[in-house]
Amino acid sequence: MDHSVVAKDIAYSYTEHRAVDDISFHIDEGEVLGLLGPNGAGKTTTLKMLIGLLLPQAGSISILDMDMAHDREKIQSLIGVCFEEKNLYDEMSAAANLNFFASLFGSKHIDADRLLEKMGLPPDRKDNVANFSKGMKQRLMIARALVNHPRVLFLDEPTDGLDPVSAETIRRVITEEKELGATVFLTTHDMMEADRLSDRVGFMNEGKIVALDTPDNLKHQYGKRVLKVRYRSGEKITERELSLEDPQTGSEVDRILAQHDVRDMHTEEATLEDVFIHFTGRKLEE
Amino acid sequence: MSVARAAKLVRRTLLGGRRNPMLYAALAVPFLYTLIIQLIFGTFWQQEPTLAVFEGGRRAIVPVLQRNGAVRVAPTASAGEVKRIVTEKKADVGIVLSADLAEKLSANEQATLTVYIGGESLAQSRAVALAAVVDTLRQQSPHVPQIDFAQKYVGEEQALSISQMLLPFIVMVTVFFGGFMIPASMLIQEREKKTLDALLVTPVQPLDVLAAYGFLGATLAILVGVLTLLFNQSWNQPPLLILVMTLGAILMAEWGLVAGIFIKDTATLFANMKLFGIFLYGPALFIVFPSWPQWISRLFPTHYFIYPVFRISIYREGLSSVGSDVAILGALTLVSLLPIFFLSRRLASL
Repeated sequence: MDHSVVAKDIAYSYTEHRAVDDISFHIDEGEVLGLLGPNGAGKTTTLKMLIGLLLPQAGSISILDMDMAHDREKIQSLIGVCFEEKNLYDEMSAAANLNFFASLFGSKHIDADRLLEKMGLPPDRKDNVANFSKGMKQRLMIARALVNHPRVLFLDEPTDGLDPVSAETIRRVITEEKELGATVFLTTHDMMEADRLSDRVGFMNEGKIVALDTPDNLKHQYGKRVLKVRYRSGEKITERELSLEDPQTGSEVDRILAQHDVRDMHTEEATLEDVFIHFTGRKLEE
Repeated sequence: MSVARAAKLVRRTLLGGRRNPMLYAALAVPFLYTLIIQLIFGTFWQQEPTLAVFEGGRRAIVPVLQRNGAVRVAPTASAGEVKRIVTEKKADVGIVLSADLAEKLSANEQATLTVYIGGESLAQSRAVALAAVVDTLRQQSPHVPQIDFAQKYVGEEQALSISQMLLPFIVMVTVFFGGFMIPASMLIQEREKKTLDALLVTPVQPLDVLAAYGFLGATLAILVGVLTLLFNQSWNQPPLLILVMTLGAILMAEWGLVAGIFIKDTATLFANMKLFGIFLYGPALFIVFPSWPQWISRLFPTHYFIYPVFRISIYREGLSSVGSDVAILGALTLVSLLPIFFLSRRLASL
């Protein structure tokens, strides 16, 4: 399979702070790669290098077989970017925003209404974007990222802080774009979202990618599957977690069943959060 | 760099909804300043030059002069009063018509007229007043009148009115708001609103953005600058003035772009302008205060814009006297272009 994005030993430092520390990865054509990590891990700096806003201080980036250092303009005509911060022209209408950005890609006419409809936005809305809700603005930003039918989409925290309806619309569109063949690079805090949308997930911490694989492989390899048991012990309710990998778990379960009044018992699958804690020793929110 | 993409950015700025307040300021401030200065110091409401006239004898010429719409005629009772009125700046020009003038004109004889010229009067006013006199005498004479004007300057010859001395300041304001502040504030606003990032991940390149806002600022500065000079009745030697205005506007736009690249927010831009604005306006002060050592003015780069504009628009001087200043201005404009190219990449990384 061809690689749509290849980052090789890229690094970037802000004065004393090394934000991205010699990382390498690739994204296959039509693949969704989710990059997870806490604030300050280096996700946004990595994204800025991939979209050509920052020049890597070391290493190289190739997108669609073109070198970012030499073919930046060509690359940027083939990618779509949605930023975390709302950076629309607030004084213009939604359709005017889309038409203006489409014109920068050389498109004389785009079906702005169709794009707005796809994002669940009213197509005939004439009022300025300044009057839009946060969720509507974010959906419009995704629509803007699609005006040039990009072959690679870069999305920085696309659903962060959104209402469930807006978040779900955006997730649906990401899935649709992937089905249409687009490659997607996604940064997010949301483990569930990354698990659901990504073909592969990378964990970033302190400027380095500490793990990169499919969600299933990562959870299987580094997560912990547990059996959770709640039982009455005297007057109080006790809850215990038993590792499914521990050979002693079977006998322990037998003992609990024999000796206590078990209220409920269920298995819990490993999560990406567990994987993250495994690598960093802390939760994503910390 | 793509001209088409830069043009799209300019179009969006001008037509895309609510505009940057600096655009309105660039259009309004020079005219506001002109109006205030003219109202306080100038002759804004008095367009016609005033001609003080004494005519001896039967006073046949004064009534004809009074019918001439180009001048306001102030008849006097004596030749001495003509001089006094001009000295007191109540008239731009004064003229004494001898009692035998009509006879000399009829006989096609040479006549000499004493003309008092106010040292602070505008050159335009002097020309209009004397043309009105010649025109009137021609009407009174069956022949081409043979007249000599014995000119006597009253007051300091090269002295200027305050409004004229403040003209360079107004022109500098014009070019500063249009040329400097528009590119700087547009760039800073794009950065503050993060829309710059959105532009720079499309095929739009940093140089396209700089070219768009530089062009917008410089063009506006030239247009408003020309209008300001017209408004101040100082539109002399148009080709040379346009050249100087264009170079000055481009220079200011280049500096505005550099400021826009380095300064991170609008508040800092205004704070810096308060601190360093004197370096832009400084040479205008040296024109207002001619007793200051004028060589200091030459240390300011804007001297090479302000000074030629002043000499051309007020004194009608040409390239022979301001050529070296214009050449230095051109060189400064070219040199200031270099940092734009070097710093353009910095736009994306801020």
